[in-house]
Amino acid sequence: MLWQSIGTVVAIGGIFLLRKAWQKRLNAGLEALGGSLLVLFSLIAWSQTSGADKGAALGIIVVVITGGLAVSMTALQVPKRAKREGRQVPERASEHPQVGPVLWLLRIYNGILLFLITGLAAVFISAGLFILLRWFGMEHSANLTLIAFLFSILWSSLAVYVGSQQAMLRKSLIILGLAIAPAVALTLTS
Amino acid sequence: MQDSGKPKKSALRVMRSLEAHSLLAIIFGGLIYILAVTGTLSVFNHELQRWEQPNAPEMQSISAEAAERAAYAVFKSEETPTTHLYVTFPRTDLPRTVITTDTQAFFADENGEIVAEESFPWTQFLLDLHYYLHMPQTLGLTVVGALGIMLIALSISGVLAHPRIFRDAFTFRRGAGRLTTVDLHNRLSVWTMPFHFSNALTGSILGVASVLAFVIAAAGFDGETGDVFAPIFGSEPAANAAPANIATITKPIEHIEKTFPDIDPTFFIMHDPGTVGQNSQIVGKHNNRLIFGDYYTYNAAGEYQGNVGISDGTIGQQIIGSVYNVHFGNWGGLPVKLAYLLFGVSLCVIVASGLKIYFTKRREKGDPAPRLEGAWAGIIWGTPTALALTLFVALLDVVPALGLVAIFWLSLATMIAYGSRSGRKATKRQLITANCALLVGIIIAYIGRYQEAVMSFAGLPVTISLAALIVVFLLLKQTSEQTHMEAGPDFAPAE
Repeated sequence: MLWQSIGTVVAIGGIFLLRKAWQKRLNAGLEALGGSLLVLFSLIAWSQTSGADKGAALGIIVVVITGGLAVSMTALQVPKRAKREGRQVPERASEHPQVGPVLWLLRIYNGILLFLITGLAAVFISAGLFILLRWFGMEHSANLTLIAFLFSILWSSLAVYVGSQQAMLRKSLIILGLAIAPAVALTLTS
Repeated sequence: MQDSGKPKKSALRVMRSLEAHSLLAIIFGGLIYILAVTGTLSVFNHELQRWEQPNAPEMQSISAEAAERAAYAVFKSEETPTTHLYVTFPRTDLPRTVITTDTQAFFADENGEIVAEESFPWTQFLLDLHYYLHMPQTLGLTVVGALGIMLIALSISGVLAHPRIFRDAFTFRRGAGRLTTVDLHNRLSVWTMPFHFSNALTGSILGVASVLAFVIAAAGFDGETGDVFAPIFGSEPAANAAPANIATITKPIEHIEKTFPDIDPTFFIMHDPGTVGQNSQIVGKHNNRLIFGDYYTYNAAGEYQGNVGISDGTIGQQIIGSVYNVHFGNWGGLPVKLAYLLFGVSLCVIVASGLKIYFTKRREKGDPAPRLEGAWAGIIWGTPTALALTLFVALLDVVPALGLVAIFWLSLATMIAYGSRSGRKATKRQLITANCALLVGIIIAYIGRYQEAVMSFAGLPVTISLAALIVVFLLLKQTSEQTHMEAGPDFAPAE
């Protein structure tokens, strides 16, 4: 109970200091550093309340809720703003150029590239890396855990890359290359 | 901020990230929203199971002898021998003993008598929706996992598109129209990121692990997927189907209670019962850890063979063993579940507000999409309405479980189509009203069906929560009507 209380109080103090730093805007390095350290100390305190994994997770929940409350407090303190007038721009749906079948096909291809081909690239890269690390003698469960997390992050990062790039040919070549190269390597080595 | 006609690199990065963020949200937002709503409700699946069968026998614990008696009785009643026999022990949020085989499940009372068949069609429907989107299991799990990955992609692109992430950490402009929605979206996204990022990551690992394991197995384990997971979760001994007397259940339970008093047994599992190859495992929960538990293994004579190592084995085993609990929020009792409820609702608001910003921007640019916006309102308000409709129908007990699946998807499709014709504001107002009416209907149907059991520990908490939900929806409706009166008439749907 002692560590829980300390963890909660320190989390509140940390968020308070961070909010103070945000309010000051300029020359707020000390408050920002102090707030961050207190938040870190809160997590350490919470990790003492149970197993290190569960305790720290409880601490993160407390910090998130405290932060949310601080934002709510800010929202209540700030006076309600006058609503900005919506820009009165006439609807011009009828002026839109017709979307032709080629554009639709490109959109569908982009969706496939973003969702499926990136997934294939991620799975082959991850599996290739697993085999490589296994070859280097990495312990199986650590290897599998690392690769399981990497796979998700890699797939999502590639999806962001595809979504952010306009040049269709360039991104297609990169993603297809990333999918095919490790797939070929896996086929040749297995 | 132009330099020789070219935008700055950071501005370009923000613009491109925002494009990726919008594209991902438009393509996957609807399905991610359905998963967010069902996931939030699934955190309380034990409470919902209990609520659906409030008359089932409840207990704090069951003796080893009674558990064995009940399990044997169910095993003997099987026409086709089961390959697995489970005993689910009572726990705080589900204080019931359930005996499960490959094909059926029954409640046992404290004396080990079989009392009634376990049946929670709506909770099962909800879990199937969240796990598989009602698709065939492996495909559904993979699609849901991939949607989790798209949620991670949304988080990554959102952070990259938000250069003032720290400077704006506490900014919130009230009553400022789109700016308020932007602040709500950004502040909730940033502050609850530890939750929704870890939740999407663990969900995606649960969903797409089988795909990754399949490729790894093909490349390095002669196609044996089981060999990829065996060092983490252990493997079953070789089967021997020759008949034998069913193995003891009391000895393993008594052993774990005596030897590991700090561990809470949650499941007893007997593999290949009634055969020479039979063996048992007890899943023991470690209350001070994030792991779902560890497997404690016994032979047919009830002799302890050791644990798999999820609690004290390699770091990889311990991390993978935590993935399930971190995703479902069942590692810290009711307070953690309530925190997950709060964060889950936040995720729903983040998804809903994100697309709202997109449509508002389009309107302000003179490029409105009223039909699409109405359809989006159909998804946002239609999902809880369709869920309420299925719950109401489930309580009336007039359709089989598969009927609930059809009702959900057909009603949701109808509401989306209705939304695209009626526009955002009308859809929102009408679906909130429909939701309130259905929730009232659910409470009345529940009281009519279970009468005095409504006031039990199994019946009351969820019933009160439903009543509270009606109040929340009424408040939302009132706020929405006020906002609409200030804002003026709705955009007319495009012809």
